[in-house]
Amino acid sequence: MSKIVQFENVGLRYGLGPEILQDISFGLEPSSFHFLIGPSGAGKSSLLKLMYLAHRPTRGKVSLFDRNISTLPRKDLPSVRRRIGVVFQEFRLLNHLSAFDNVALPLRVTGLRGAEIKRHVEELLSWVGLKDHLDSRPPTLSGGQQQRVAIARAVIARPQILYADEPTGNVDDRIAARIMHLFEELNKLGTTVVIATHNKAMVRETGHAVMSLEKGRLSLQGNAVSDASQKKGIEVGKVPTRQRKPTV
Amino acid sequence: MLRQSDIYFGQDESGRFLPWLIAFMVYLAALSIAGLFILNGLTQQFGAGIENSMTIQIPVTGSPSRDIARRTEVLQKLQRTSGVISSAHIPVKRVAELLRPWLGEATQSDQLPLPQVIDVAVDRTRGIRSDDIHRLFEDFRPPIVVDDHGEWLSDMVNALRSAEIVAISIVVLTGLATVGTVIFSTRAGLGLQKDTIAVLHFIGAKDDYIARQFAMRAAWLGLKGGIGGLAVALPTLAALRFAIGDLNFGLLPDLNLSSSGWISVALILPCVAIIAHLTARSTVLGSLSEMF
Repeated sequence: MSKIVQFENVGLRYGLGPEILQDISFGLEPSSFHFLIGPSGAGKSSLLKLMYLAHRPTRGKVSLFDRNISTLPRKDLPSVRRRIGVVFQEFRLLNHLSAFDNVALPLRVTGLRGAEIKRHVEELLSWVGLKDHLDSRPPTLSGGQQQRVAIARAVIARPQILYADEPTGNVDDRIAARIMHLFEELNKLGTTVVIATHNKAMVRETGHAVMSLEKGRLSLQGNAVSDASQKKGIEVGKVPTRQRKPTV
Repeated sequence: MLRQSDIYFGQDESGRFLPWLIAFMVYLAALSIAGLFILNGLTQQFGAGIENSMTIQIPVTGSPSRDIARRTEVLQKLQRTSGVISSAHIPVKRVAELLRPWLGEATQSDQLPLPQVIDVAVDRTRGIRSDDIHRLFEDFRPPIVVDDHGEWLSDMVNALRSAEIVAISIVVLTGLATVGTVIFSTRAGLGLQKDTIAVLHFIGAKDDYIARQFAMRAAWLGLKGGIGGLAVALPTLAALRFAIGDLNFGLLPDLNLSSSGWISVALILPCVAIIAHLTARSTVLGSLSEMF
């Protein structure tokens, strides 16, 4: 099966600094679910930024939806980005807009208008438990509520890939479980999910495939099989039947 | 109800100063355009009215019969002169009226020896000059005086045209200054909004979507400034019109702003909004094209 995300010997450096990411190679299959773990400063956010097209790689090749991002014309970036949802660690909501308008943004930029936006956004905000906060602006919402608005914004346009950077970092266990349940549901609907997290307990409990970053280099842990391992006939661990596996 | 813009411009100081600067530009442009139309009207009136005419003054001799004979001789010779289209004696009463602004009631006095005046229409393409006319009557004593309006009028028309160029230059310069101000303001706004722009890019917004929001805001600020500038310029023009009205005596033609002039002044408003819109849009698109 073709990979929805493919990294080949990718390196990233900021300006003239050292390489933050080195020789990253992996592929994600459609409808798979992965955790991205690693200590602070390991390069998790940088790897996510490459995946959600905030940066181009310094070297190597990044392909999304079978399109080489390194050579993709700038005018084609929006169409690729619309197939990606991102939940930022710091949410990055627009504070002057209501929860409704924040969530409606990905639909508005596609040119959708009026009643259709209203129906979709209200339905989704109800689903994440915020139907009474449609007109609330982010600064008046709690951290957990803001996080749910950010998640709703990330998934409103039915992205094929969802990236989340520490999505449970600022919420209590009950809300964290609820958010994880939401991601699981989206994954069941066919969305490829990648979650960067420090929460080892959550990683253990869910049993999804794990990509581990250490000092800018990627390795696999737990339920994952590398291309190299497959060639050698080495199976690293059992992969749950529903989700696909990342390969390194 | 209008939806809130995706980009919050409230923290952008340029939103405060830009309308003031544009108001000043619009004020200057409105006065310049009004001046341009008045000058153009003057040029046309002077050019069309008396550019091809001369005036002959026949000084009085003290003998009415001799004066009539001299006048008749002048008119007859002019009729036979190549290049002269027509000639007509201006009655003394009319001459007195024309001189009244300078000489007052003295023109009504019989003691004032007003010359006989002949208005001559000439065809300059046939090469006729004031010297040619003068030469026809060089044996007249006291000598006649030939005033060639074309000579001094051409100087005046040239001066008026120079003034028109100055007015056009002011309009162009205010337009360029407006463009520069909008570019500066938009670039400053882009710097302040880089986080919001990044979010809009990540959710798939095209550059045009972002540029449109900056452009709409610039157009709105341009309109605000334009209304302010015109609100001051129109009373200024009305006051000038009132003041100039007092100067409307014989020498000066109509100095009022024509209806096309008023329309042109009013058109500054949509023009400044369109200029601001297009400038902001191209500035944003240019800046965003350098980003990933």
